[in-house]
Amino acid sequence: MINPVSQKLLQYYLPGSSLAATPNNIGGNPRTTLNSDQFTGRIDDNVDERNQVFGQVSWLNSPQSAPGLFPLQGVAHPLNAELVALGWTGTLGTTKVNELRLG
Amino acid sequence: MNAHKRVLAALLGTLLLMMGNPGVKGQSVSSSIQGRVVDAGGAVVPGADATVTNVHTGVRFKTQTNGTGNYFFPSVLPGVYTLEIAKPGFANYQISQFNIVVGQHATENGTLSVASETQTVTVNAGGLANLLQPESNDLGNVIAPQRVAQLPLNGRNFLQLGLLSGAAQSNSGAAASAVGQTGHPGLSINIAGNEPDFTMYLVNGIQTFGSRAGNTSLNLSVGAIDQFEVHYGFFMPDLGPNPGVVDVITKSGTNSFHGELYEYVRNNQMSARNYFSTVPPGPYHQNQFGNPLSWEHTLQPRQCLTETFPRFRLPSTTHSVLIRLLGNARRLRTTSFPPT
Repeated sequence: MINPVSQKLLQYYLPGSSLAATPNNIGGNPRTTLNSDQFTGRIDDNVDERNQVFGQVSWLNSPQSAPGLFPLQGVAHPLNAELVALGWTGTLGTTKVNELRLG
Repeated sequence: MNAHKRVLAALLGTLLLMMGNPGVKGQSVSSSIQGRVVDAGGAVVPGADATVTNVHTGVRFKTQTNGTGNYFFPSVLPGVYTLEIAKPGFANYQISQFNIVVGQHATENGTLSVASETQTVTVNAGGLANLLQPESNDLGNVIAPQRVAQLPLNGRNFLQLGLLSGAAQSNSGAAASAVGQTGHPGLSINIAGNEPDFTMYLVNGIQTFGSRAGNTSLNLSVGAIDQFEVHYGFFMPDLGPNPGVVDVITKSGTNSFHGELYEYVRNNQMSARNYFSTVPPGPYHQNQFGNPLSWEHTLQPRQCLTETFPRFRLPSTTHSVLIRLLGNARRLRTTSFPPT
């Protein structure tokens, strides 16, 4: 009687995955995937000579996965980043300038 | 409310303000232009009109020299500018096509000679930057737009360009092992011998934090970056407390429509087989593609200047909106060698 768990695991056996004639070990390198998508937009508004504003949006989705040979193995590294930024640069005088950044 | 309660309320209020959002810090990233205007005899010229114009966007600023002949544009975006200095009784003086890089506090002096106002003395800077900065004690190295656009990078990671500054290096040891924890390589660099935790990453003046200390979370597309500077050493307090700063400015639009389409391909078909290996390299596919677009939209008609600038019929006020949208997708797929 073979343990049913072992039977399931045997389905993942890769014949010829060792140099030995009758291999006892399973070897292999599963596929590592890194898909990275991103988007950046920026708007500059030159309101007048004393005031400039800008807005920026960045979005990043970059999941990485390195699975193992068997189910429930391996690691996954999700990476999501969003950046929304608003900026105002105001010239208050010949020697004063104010920069406001929100993000 | 008695005095004690007022003091307590003030302290609490101050504390609340300080607690704010510690995760996001804004720093000054704009550049400035200043200089002194003298006549041929070396005497300062007060009251001269100074105008700088961004060559690519048409955005312009005006000011006048003060009593000591100095003018000051305290905040301009990086770009290529032309400076005009004019005063009745003198020939116009122009410095054309000089480059202002990120964080630069440039000094551009002018000399006015007595002549007709219809004459113009032009100094052509040829698009170069005047990197002497007597107004700043900042050490740093600007990674200029040409380098960002043209240097080949494995994986198109902009922080590799930061290594050109000479003061930065890739992480090693424990810092490099962060890759194992984040799964994403190349999200931090060491600057001037400091640990990666001390490096601050700014995107248009906003700090970007990763999940692990010392990492940036936003691995910006190289196509979105106009230029950036790696600051180190002692610099002005407006750059914050960190001894190393990566200061990124993203591209803004220009006066005309731009489109771009690119793809970088790297795969196992281009890989050489190991001399001792009996099998070809395993599958490896890396594709990076994107399509940055930019344009400018002018919201109101341009106005002409007064007689002060008879030669230059440029707008005295431009209300322009510069839009730049950048799409970039990166596909990185790797498979290691099959077992042998």
